[in-house]
Order: sequence, then C-alpha cells, then structure tokens
Amino acid sequence: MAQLSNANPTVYSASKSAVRIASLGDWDDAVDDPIDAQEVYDLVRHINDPEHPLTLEQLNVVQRANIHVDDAASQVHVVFTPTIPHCSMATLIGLCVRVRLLRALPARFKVRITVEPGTHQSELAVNKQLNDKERVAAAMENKHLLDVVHQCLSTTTDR
Amino acid sequence: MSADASRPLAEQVAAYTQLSPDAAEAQQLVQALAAALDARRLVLLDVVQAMGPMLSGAVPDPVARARVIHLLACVLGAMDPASGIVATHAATLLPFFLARLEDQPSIEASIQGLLNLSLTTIWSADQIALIMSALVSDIALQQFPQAARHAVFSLFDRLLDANLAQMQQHNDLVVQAFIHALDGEKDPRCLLLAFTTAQRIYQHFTILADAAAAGADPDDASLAETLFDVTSCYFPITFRPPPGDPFGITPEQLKNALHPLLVAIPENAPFALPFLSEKLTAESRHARRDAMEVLALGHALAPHDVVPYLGELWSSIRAEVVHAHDDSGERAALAAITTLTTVLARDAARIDAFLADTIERDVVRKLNDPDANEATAHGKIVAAVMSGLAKAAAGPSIALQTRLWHAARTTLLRRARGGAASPSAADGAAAPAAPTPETESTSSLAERRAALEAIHWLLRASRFSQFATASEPHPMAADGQTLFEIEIDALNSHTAHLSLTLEAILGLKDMLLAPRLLTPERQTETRHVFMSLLTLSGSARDADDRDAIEATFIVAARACAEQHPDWFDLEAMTPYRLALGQPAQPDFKPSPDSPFASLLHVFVALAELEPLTQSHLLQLFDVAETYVTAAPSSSPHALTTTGADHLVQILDAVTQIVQSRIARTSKPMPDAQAASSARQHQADAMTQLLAPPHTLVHRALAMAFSRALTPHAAAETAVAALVRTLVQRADAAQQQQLADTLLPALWTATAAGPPACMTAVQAAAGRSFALDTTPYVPFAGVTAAAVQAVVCHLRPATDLHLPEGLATMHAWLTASLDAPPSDASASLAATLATLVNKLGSDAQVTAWLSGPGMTRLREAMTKPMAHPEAWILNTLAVYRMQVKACMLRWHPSTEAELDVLLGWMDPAVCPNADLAGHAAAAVGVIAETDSTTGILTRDAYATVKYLVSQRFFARCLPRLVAGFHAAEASRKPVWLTAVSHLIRHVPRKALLTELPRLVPLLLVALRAGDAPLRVATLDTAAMMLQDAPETFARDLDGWLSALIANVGIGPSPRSELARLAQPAPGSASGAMPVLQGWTTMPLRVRQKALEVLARVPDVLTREQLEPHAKAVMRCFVLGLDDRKRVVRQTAANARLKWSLFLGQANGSGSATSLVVQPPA
Repeated sequence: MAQLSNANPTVYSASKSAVRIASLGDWDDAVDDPIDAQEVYDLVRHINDPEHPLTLEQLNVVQRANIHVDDAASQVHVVFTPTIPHCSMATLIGLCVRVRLLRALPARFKVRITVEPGTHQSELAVNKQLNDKERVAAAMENKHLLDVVHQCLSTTTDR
Repeated sequence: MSADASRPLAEQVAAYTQLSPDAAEAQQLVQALAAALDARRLVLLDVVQAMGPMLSGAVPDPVARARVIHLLACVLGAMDPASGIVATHAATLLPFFLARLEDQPSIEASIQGLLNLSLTTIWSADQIALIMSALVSDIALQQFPQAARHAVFSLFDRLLDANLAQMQQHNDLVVQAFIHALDGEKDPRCLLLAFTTAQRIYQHFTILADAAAAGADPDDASLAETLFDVTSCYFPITFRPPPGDPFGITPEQLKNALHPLLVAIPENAPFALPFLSEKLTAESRHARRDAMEVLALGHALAPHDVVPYLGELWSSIRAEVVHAHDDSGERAALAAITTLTTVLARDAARIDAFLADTIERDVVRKLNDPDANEATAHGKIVAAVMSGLAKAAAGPSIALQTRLWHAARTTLLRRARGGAASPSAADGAAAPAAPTPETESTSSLAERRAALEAIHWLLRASRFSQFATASEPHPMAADGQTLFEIEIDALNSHTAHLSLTLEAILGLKDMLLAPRLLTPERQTETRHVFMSLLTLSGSARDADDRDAIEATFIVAARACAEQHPDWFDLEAMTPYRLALGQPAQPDFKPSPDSPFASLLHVFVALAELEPLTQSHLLQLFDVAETYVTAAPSSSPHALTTTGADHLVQILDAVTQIVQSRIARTSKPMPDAQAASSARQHQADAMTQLLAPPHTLVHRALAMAFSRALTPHAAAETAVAALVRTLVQRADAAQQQQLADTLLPALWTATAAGPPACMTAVQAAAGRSFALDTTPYVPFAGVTAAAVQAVVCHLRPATDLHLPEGLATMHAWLTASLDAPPSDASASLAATLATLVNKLGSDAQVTAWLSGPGMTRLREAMTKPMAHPEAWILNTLAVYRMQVKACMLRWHPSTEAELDVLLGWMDPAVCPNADLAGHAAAAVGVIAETDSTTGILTRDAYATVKYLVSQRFFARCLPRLVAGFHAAEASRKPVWLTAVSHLIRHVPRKALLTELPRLVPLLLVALRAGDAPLRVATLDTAAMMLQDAPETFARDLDGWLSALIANVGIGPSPRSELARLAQPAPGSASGAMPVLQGWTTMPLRVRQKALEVLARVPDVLTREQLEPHAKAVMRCFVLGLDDRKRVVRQTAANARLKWSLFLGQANGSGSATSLVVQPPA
C-alpha cells in the first residue's frame, strides 16, 4: 500500500454542541425549517477520510463554524481544513463533500467548496479544481475515483 | 446409524467431503456419528480409520482432507459431554490433531477439533506442553478466519478451567503461546475473550520482568514486557460497534477487560507507568480519562516503582481535576489520586514525602491563591488523598488535615464570609459587616462560593479520618461555630445568590456528617436548622429556584438519611408534618405558599431508602386520612378544592412509594437464587403493607367510599390508582380476604344506601369516615372507580361470590342502558368484561351472554341508528369489552359477537360513516393484548388462552378482507381502517404468513387511505421489507409506485417546487404546471414513504431495482427541497443509498435536472 500522507492524525471528539436538539416544531407541517449550516454539517460530518477509518468530523476537517449557508439566495460555502499542509488527499476530500452535497441538496443551491486559507500548500489549485464543474464531472467519469468516493460516502447513510 | 446406515462408514465419510458444511445431510451424518459414539456402537478410532484414504495421501486433495478433519471435529463437538471420550483415544487423537496443524488447509478444522476434544478431556502436563509448543511454532494464527482465532482463545480458556495445575508446570511456554496467539488480533469478539484470558494468566502464572532471570538472552524483551506490549497496543480502546451489531460487544466491555491488564502485576510498572504518563498528555481527553482509569486500578504497583514517575503523573492528574471537561474525567482523576496515595502509603517514608512535598505544597498554595479559582479542585484532591489514606489504613491523615486546615483557614474563612473575618475566629481579626447583595461584586461572590466549596470538600475529606484516640478532636473543631455562622449567612442570601444557598445546604449536611466536628448541643441545633431548610423553597424567587433548592436538599437529605435514618421519621419532623396539612379545623385550607409539593418529593425520594420505606408510606397515608376525617358531617362538600388537590398529591406520593418499592425488588437479578430472594423480599414487604387487621388496601378502599371525596373526581382517581396498585401486588389470600369483605355486600346493594359493602370495608379498615347519604345509584361515582380497581386485578381463582353477582351484573348493565351516558361507563365496561373473562366455565359465560342485560345490549347494537349517537357510542364501549373478554378466553361465541360489531360497517345497518369508523377502531381495542390501561392483561390476571392473538387474527382477517372486497367504494376505507387496527396488534410471525393475501389491500390503503392508515401501512411495508422481502419483491411495481405517490409534496412547497406547482408565467392559461399529478401528503406520510424507499436497496438486488431506478431517483428531488428538515434528511439518505447501490455518478435523474414527473 502506498505511504499515507498523514500516518498519525490527531483525533478529535465529536462536539456535543454540534448536535441539533429535537423540538416539537420538527414534526409540525406548518413550521418552515430553513436549510442552515447545521443541516449541511450533518450531511458531511460522517464522510469517511480516504486514508483512515475516521470521519471528517473526527479529524476536524469539517467544522460547523466553517460552513456558511444562505437559504434565500440558495448558496452554500463549505470551508474545509486538511490535516496537514501537504495532504495529497485534499482534492479527493473536497470531491467527496461536493458529491455528497450534489446528491443531498436541492438543485437550486450553488455550492462552493474551498480549503481554509493558509492550511494547504496547493490551496489555489485545489480550490480551482473543486469549483470547476467540468473537472468535477470528468472526475466522476473515472470509475476508480467514483468507487473511492462511494467508499468514503458509504459511512454517511442511516445517520 | 446414519441417514443411510446401509453404506459403509468410509463411503459416508467420503460423501461428506462433497457436501457443504451447512447441508442438512452433513449435519445428519455428524449427529448420527455422535449418537453412535455416545452409545458405544462405534469408537473414535473407527471414524479416524474410515478417514484413512483421505488422510494418508491416497487421495491427494487437501480440501477433502480438511473436510474430513472438520467432520471429526464436529462429531467430537456433538458428542454428549457426559459420555466422555476414552483417555487412550483422546491421547491418540491429540498428536493426530497437532500433526495436522502443520497442514495449512486443515489448521482451522484441527483447532476446532482440539477445542472439542479438550471439552471432555483432562490433559497431562506433557500433553499441555505439546499443545502449547504446537501453538507457538506451527500456526500463523492471524491468517485464519475469525472463527478459528476465536477457537484458539476458547481453547486457552477451556484449558485454564480444567488443566490449570498442568499448565502452571509449563509457565513460560503457556505465556509465550498466549502472546503468540494474541499478537495482531483485531476482532473485538476475539479480543474480549483474549483479555479475559489474559487476566487469568496474570493471576495464575509467574511473569518475570527480567529476561535473564527467565533463562533467555538478557537483551531480549522479557515475558512481562512482551505481554504488556501485545495488550497495551489496544489502548485506548476506540472501538465503535457497527450499527445493528448482532454480537453486542460494547467499548465498555473491552475497556473493562483491557484496563486491569496494564497494571495487573508490579512487574508491569517499568512499562506501564511511562506509557500511561505519555497518554496523560494526549490530545484526546478520552485517552487521558482512560489512562487515569487504568491508574485507578493500579493497586498492585509498588511504591518504589511509582516514585520515579510521580512528578509527571501528579502534574497531569492535577491538571485534569483543575480543568475537568466533564464529570467522568474528574472522577477518573480523583480515583487515580486515591489509588496512588494507597500505593505510596505502603511505605511510610515515601508517603510522608509525597504528602509534604507534593500535596501539602500544592494544596496550601492553591487554597491561599488570591484568585481562588482552583480552591475547589484542591479541596477535592484532599478528599481523594484522605480516601486513599483511609483505604491503606495509614496514620498521617489527621495530622495532614490539621496542617492543611491551619495553613489555609484564615484565607478560606475570610473569603467564605465574603471578605469579612469571623468575630469568633481564632485569628481575632476585626469583623466587618457581612456584604449585602447590592455591595457584593460578582468576583467576590465567585470567591465566596469557591471558598465554601473548598471548606466543604475538606469537611468531606475528614470523614475518612483515622482518629488515633477516642478523644482526638476533629481538625476543624475549633472553628465549628464560625463555620456554622458562615453557612447560615450563605443560606440567608438565597433571594440574591441561589448558588450560595445551594452550597450552604450541602455544607450543613457535611458539618452534620463530619465526625466530632460539633458538640452534641451544636449538632442538635444544626440538625434542626437543616431539617427546616426545605421551607426555603417556599420563598424562592421562581419555579426554577424552587426546583434547585428541592433537588439539592434531596441530595443532602439522602446522604444524611443513609447514616441516620432516625432523623427522617415523619413523626420526628414536626415542621414538615405540619406543613403537609393539619386539617383539624373545618375551615382548614393549606397555604398555597407552603412548599407542599417539594415536601412530598423529599418524602418519596427518602422512602427509596429501605429503612424509611414502610414508615414514610404509612405516615403519609395517615396524613391523607386526616383530610378525610376532617370533613364536617354537615357540609355537602367536605374538602376545599385546594385541600382535595393536596390530598391527590399525597395519594400520588403514596402510590409512587409503593411502585418504587415494587420496582426496586423487581429488577433483573444476576442468578436464580438472588431472584428468588428478591421475590421473597418483595412478598414480605407487600405482606407487611397489606397485613391485617387494618390493612392499607382496606383503608384506601374505605377512603374511596367516603363522602369527602364525592365531588372531587381527581381524588377518586388517585385513590383508585392506589387501590389498584396494592390489589395487584397482594397475594392470593389477601385478595380473597378483600373480595370476601367487599363483594357479597356489593352484589346485594340496594337503593336504600349507604350500601353494606361500604360499611363492611370501613369495619375491616377500622375507620368510620362519613358516607354519602344520597340514594345509592348502582355503579356510579366513587363505587365505579374503586370497585373496578379491585375486581379487575383479582386472580381468577379468587371466589367472587357468584352466581348472586351475575344477577347484579345484569342489573348494572340494564341500568346503564337506561341511564344517560356517564363517566362511569368505562369503569362499568371494564368491570363487567373482567368478571366475564374470569368466570369459572364457558357454560357460565354462555349463560351470561344469553341473559337479559346482554340481550338488550345486543339488540341495541344491531340497530345503532335507533339511538342517540352519544348513547350508542357508550354502548359500543361496553360491548367491545365484552367481545374482548370472550376473545381472550376464546369462548365459542366470540365470532358471533364480533359479527354484530362488524355489522356496523354495512351501510344498510349503519349509514353513519363515523359510527362505522368507531366499529373499525373497536377491532383494534379487541386485538390489543397489552393494553396500556392495565385492564384484561396478563398482569391483571386475565384469562388469556394460548396463542389467542394468532387465532383471533386468523379468524378475523378473512372476514375483513372479504368485507373489503364486497363493500361499496365509499365503505372500503372503513374496512381498511379495521385491517390496519388489527395488524398493529398481531404478532409479527402470524402477520408474515398472511402478508401475501394482504398486499392488495395494503396497496389500496397506500393510495386511498387517510394519513393514519397510510402511516400504519408504511410501517407494515417496512416490516415486510425486513422480514419477507420476497413478498415485497413479488409486487415490486405496485409497491414502488405506491411509495413514490406517497412521497408527494408538502402543504406549501418551497421556492422552486412551488413555482413548478404553478403554471409557467406568461404561458397560455390552462397550461399544465410541472408538479401536476403530485398530491399533497402529510409530513409523517412523506417521511415514512422515503424511509421505506431507503430500505429497499438493503434487501433487493440490482437486477430487481434497476428498471425502477429512474422513477425512484426522480421522486427524491421533491423530498430534497421539502420545507421540513426531517423529510429532507430522509430523502438525502434515501437518495445516497440508491446512488451507492446503483453505483452511479449522480444517480439517474440527476438532482441537477428538475424534471419532475407525476407518479405512474
């Protein structure tokens, strides 16, 4: 097996504050529930890291505070933090987040995914790749890559 | 002998190699051979001989070789352990299996064979050595499947059980073999077993830390180090069980098994302490907590091993206490301090140095620290250290505490007073006035609270003190008066600073429990103050404050009551007794300001302590009776509304105490003996409660009949609930005594009133409450609820004094049909049904069903439109309970009676669709065997025939299905409703067999039913997917299109969906909107339909689903933009599962293209 980019990542505990508290309004059809950052965070937090059997939440790659949602303007911006500045998996992680949101959010949303500034040495290149529709579509044509993405997303079902 | 006994054994064995291990034929051969061996018709060596050609190499097929060894292993496992294996045969088979361990394909079967052989064999020391040597040298265990690895650990476990002495003769070899087996193991099931085995190895074997001493190369790692390495690599446990894990292994189980290993023997100290020291500085707080939990288990460590690492350990652990993230981390840190203290206390010099150089230095500095933030944490540390000293029975505890207190007392006392020094303090400083809430800043409040907490922890620490002589005073005794004043000051600040008050409540408790702190006079005074503390809640600012005071007082009171139960006898608690109510005066009205509810909460909480249960229960009931006895005979309304409300609360508290007592003794017990003892204990307790002459149940019943309760329905309900709880738990003799007192007089009651049954109960209870003097109405008011509470919970064997009762029952039924509907109808229905259900024979039931009351009832039921709706609904309530009573005992008339009920579904009999709907719902009431009302259940001793639910379902379902098919369109939903009510209460297995017949109905229900019917149907669909996927697949088209239709849209779709639901702007009028064809669905239906769709890919194949994928993926688009989050989340989950299942880039019908087509 190829050498891991980050063989010994720091593992963080899932924060209690990042869980949405259920309320009676959740089951009232008359109450509108706008799509917010917590909902988007819940969609991506359980994506598996491509290298380790740990989720993006456990590795602090995605954080609730780094997700910005404007439901009215149909815009989502996810900022993620690679575990190390030379992480070769950053693009793949971003791709997983994009595919997850592509499948889980209404089509009206424009999704932007970027690396947190200063946390990756190829930050601009990664950002450009992740937000280029054609490159993303081309990546999804690659059977092997698609299998890897599906592997990472398989941990997000039934959550 | 075997399935085909005529064939030679060798042929059968050869045939076995061609079979799958799970094949029925293979299993039969195993069982047949095992039976023949048990019966001595064969010997093991015959079987081995029959395998000869496969083993000797004449047939050079390694797979066949492995299969025959597997056969031998299975036969050994299937043999009766009692029949045993001849020792010589076992001795021959052992080298056979060991030799096969060198044959790669046969290893797994050989290990299983060794395990099965060891189940009935005691090995010699030499044989053990052979086994262990083979395990060390021959197997690369981690290459094999989990079952084989698990068999190896089971083998160790078995050998340790039966061959411990022989294994101890080969100490090092056994340990090496175990290390070899464990190294690299990853499966949690194997690890759990291996860790448990490792504990036994540590316990029974000598594991040297010095390799040279064991005769090995001094440069090699010692056994202790190697064993530590192969176990410590699993620390910290980060295992997370997969969803729906069938093995049920939890991280806690693994932790509990692993943690003791790391510090199991003193020889581990050189490896464990640096290892744990490093883990204590880890980023993850869970890892730090686990490291401290391991340290807390390190009682086996030696003082001289701990000392080199003490500095690092202490600073890390202290930091965990001071900056604790949560309670579990703090608890683990304090437990680690306690253990380290206990270990060091074994060496007087080292403990003195630790206490003086580390504890005293840090604690004194922090207790005197100007910012006071860490004072509380260091108070807790002192308590942990003192606990450790107490466990080691070490002497310096009092001296240490005295030194600590003298070094910190001036600062702590000053801060606890809010900056003021005490006038009686030994330092003689001037006493400025205590701060007022207005002048006290937030920082001084925090300081004051921190100082109070620190003092309280020092007081708690003193409870572990080892007093040298009987006259040795408490280290803080000289400041007892000052401390008392400080607590009172803090208590008085409750309107401004609740946190101080709460701390002071705990402080008074600590003062009372600290040995020799207070003089006897001061102790009594403090106790009186403490006991009156709960009245503080009466003047709390708001409900939150009141709850906080109450909860804190309960904690403090329970701690005191555990040591001094006599303090909490209700009679001794005069202020509380008075506050509960002293309604001696006719115009008594309890004060709404009194902390009445709080007092009851305290009594209920204290009653959980065993010595107080009985006394609190009876004394509270005494108080309740004073409300009734105070009722003036002249007044028609004996109790005020407030008085009745208080009485209800007291009765609820009494019921709660009884139920809590029952729950305590009904907890699952670890073994049969404990369970039997608990049952006896419970029976004794209840016997005591219900013992003659004036039993609690008679007293409660007498209270129920009293006139005082007549206008207060809530009080009647409360006393009926108490009666029900007591009757249900009474033994047969007590129930019979109650029935003898109540029922004969009840059956002969007349309108001359008050009825004799009431006076009889009063006589039995020794009470003479005023009774209602108005003419007696059969089965109304208090009589109804109380009689129901008794009759519905008697055992079937209880003599109910029938048949005179049957006449009365008919009279009740007739009277109820003539009377206007009343609240007592439900009680009457339940009581009559219970009596019918418990009648001694079916003939008696038949007689009852043909009696005048039932005849009138049936006539009314056959003409529902001839009566007012409210009246006929009451009649239906009585009738359906009668049908249920017959159904449970499976009386022959059940089906005929059910037909009368189902007749309402026919529009010719009952044109009113609402009434027909009630009849459909009644099917559910009848089918329900675990009723939440507690009527006609097994707990209430109802007569319930075996498999009655299945029988009812089997008889009822065809009628409903036929009715559905025959009904006109407008009545079909009613039949479907009845079906949904029925299947909700049917055992799953029975339902599965009928599902194919039900599918057409369920599909219609999904398209035409109302919301509850659709949700119930979707639940059934989910169950069918899980348990009968082939039935679901048979009608896949129908199911998927029905599910897609139920995804629907919300009542007001969001943004783009809303636009799509409208004709496009500028288009010609009448142009079709894109969402045309989709119907509006309620939230539960949308969510449930998506949930079921998400489950489909789990059970069906790609070939089955691919033709439908496009339509399904499109319907998710609606759910993804639903206005409700739960729907969106379910849709996102379902879409992802389908995408992963189909392995597509975006799934067909991409979310990016909103082409939404209506369901087919």
